[in-house]
Amino acid sequence: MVNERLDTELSATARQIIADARGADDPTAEDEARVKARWLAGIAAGAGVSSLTEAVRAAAGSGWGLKVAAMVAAAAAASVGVYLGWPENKPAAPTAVAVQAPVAAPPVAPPAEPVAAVAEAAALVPAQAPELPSATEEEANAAPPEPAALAATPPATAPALVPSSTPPRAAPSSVRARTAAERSRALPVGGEPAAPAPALSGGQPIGGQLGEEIALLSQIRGTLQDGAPARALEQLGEYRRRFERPNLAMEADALRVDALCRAGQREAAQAAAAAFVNDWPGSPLQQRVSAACP
Amino acid sequence: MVDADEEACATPEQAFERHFAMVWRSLRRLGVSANALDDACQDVFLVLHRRWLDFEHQSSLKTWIYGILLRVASDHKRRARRERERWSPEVAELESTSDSPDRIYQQREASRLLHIALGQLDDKERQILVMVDLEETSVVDAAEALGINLNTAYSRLRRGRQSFEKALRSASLVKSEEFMPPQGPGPTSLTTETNGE
Repeated sequence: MVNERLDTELSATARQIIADARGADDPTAEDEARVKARWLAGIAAGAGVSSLTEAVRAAAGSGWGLKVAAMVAAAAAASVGVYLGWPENKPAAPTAVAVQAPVAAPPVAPPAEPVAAVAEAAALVPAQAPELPSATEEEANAAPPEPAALAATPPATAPALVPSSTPPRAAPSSVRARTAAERSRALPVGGEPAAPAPALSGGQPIGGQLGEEIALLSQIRGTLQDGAPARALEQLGEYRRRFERPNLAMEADALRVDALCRAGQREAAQAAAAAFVNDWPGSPLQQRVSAACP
Repeated sequence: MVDADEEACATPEQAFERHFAMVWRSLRRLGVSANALDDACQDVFLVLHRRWLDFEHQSSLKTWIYGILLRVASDHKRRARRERERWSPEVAELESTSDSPDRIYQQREASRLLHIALGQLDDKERQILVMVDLEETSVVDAAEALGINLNTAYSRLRRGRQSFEKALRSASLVKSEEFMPPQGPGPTSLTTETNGE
């Protein structure tokens, strides 16, 4: 500490309290993984790019390719618990993971799969309108625009996430496999919901829950894109029942607005959109939700 | 001032990994409520990502990020005020089960006092105190992140420390009457207290 020139130093008692409280407000590994997954999802959503792969491709020409690709891989890892390239002091066990996976899956996920998986997470809310990054209005005004390529207008429907390897709908199974595997990672806490699929049963640390949530929300998004909004609404109900303490409630609420609108329940959709604004002030998904049912 | 950590943070993702804990902890201590913490962190790193190429290494990466998080914290608190949420000194749940019950109790109690005392400061005092005394940032860097001159920073810090001491004293009084267990707490009393909150 460089506190010269101060005539009021903290008392020994105050310094002791600060020292004793050290660590008390630190995030857990799970907090970090969750926020990281949402951050990367937000980058894709906020940039108005409807898939991260597209972002990677678009960014390649602007010198962003490597950065974005690196982030995508890490986010995929974070969001499904594989922790590629995670610092070694984190409680990750990538090798043990594959051994315990009850579903046939590549022991070590090839790069394309994590990308597809996170793109699923990122594109949980179908792109409907291009939007500006909305994290902090003041910042948005103060900040120069993104590299132009990243601000490209997204297509109305979700594009293939990873060209010629993994189509979007193929991702949930790989996500699920890794989700189950993720349980080998011991993380504390949590009332756990009952898991319907056999592959999903077993001891469930909260890290496994995040993976399951991503898988289910991805499925719901697929249902929506298949033109079955009523079914998507049922699945959203299932999501609510299954996850008492959801990590991705905001994403689920956003999907619900979209599903209601597509189901022709415009008033309900608009009410849900208004509720969303209240429940998730400052959400990066807010503009998208507002535009979901004009 | 260029920190050594820039070299280790060539990408936004590396910056995330290196500074996430600091961002999380500081937002919390600056008064962002526990249930808004995820969003606030996400906002900080979205801004960081958006402005990554603008970072000119005039200041350290930590200082630059701190500048972002101060604004995000203010935004979130302003929104929270609008929604009539009140400052609530919630104490984080402690995860470090390897620590002894005494240590856990000590940390928990210290954290409780810390949050109550921080809650008594005005925003400006709290910002500089959290940066300098909790995050061990230099006053020079803190002044830069806050966009104020050095003298202002020093006098603000002095006032902040005085308010903080005063707030700690009154928080400690409450503690001794209501929270202090008669003897060193065992695991049982800790559990009871955890459930009670």
